[in-house]
Amino acid sequence: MSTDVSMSRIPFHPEDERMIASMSVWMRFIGIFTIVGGFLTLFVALLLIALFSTVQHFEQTELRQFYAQLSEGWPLLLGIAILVLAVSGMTIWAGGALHQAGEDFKLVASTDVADQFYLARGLDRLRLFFKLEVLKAGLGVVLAVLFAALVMTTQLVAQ
Amino acid sequence: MSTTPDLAAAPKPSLGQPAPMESPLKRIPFTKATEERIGWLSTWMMVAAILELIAGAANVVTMFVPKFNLSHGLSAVLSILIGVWLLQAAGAFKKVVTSDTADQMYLVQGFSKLRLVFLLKSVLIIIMLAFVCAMVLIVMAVGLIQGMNR
Repeated sequence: MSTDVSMSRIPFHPEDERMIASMSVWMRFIGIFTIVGGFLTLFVALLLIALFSTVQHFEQTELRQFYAQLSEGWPLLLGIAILVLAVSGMTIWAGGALHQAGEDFKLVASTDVADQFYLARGLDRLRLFFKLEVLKAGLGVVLAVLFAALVMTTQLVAQ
Repeated sequence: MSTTPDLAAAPKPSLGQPAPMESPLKRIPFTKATEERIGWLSTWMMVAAILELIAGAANVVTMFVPKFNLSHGLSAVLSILIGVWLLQAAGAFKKVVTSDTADQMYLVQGFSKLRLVFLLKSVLIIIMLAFVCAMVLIVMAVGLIQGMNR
């Protein structure tokens, strides 16, 4: 049953408050690590895209041959690039959501001002985090399929 | 059903006396929208748990095929642990929404399982970072020694 009454304090046992505070520490740690990982993925993806767009001007014939083979599967490459950029963006977003959820749960454990409000907000951000994680896993499967198709196309062209 | 928090009726401790232990709330008056969101949290968590369990099962298979690989076994154990804890947390959060019998207790249950998940992931990240740092230090030390020998 639902109502509009919001509790300033939920009487958590001191042990439970310590547990929630500890959970919030680890959530914020993973949140920051996820954000850094997302930015690193974005950086590497952009670097590879830049490298790929300039490889045709390289001196090495092997590299140019490889470029020509890869270019045959350009729609797949474009799809992979878009997906990698999307996944890295979602990773940064998910890390931010997890970090903020950790902040909310820290407030639940350390203050008695608006426990229910912080709890609800933290749970909502946690929902966003798990939703993004599941969507990322789905995109990961699509990426793997696209990558396998690209490898097959490249091998076919090489033959 | 009364909408006043149970806390309002709790006796206030007098000066110099320790606060009496308050009993956990049977019901936390979440709004309909918040309850819906908690329900979705439970659903997404359950999907994430199932994906972890599938990854764990896949690692169990690849542990023996094509040949025995201990690292896959370790990955399987970790994935299955995380999957089971996430499932338990999702179940506890579902109960917060679907029942009004022990909301606070179910919340604490869910949080304690979530804490285990995040703690385990954090420990893995710390081990990985320590490993990377050690590798960088070893590479630098080898380079330094080789440079000094020239």
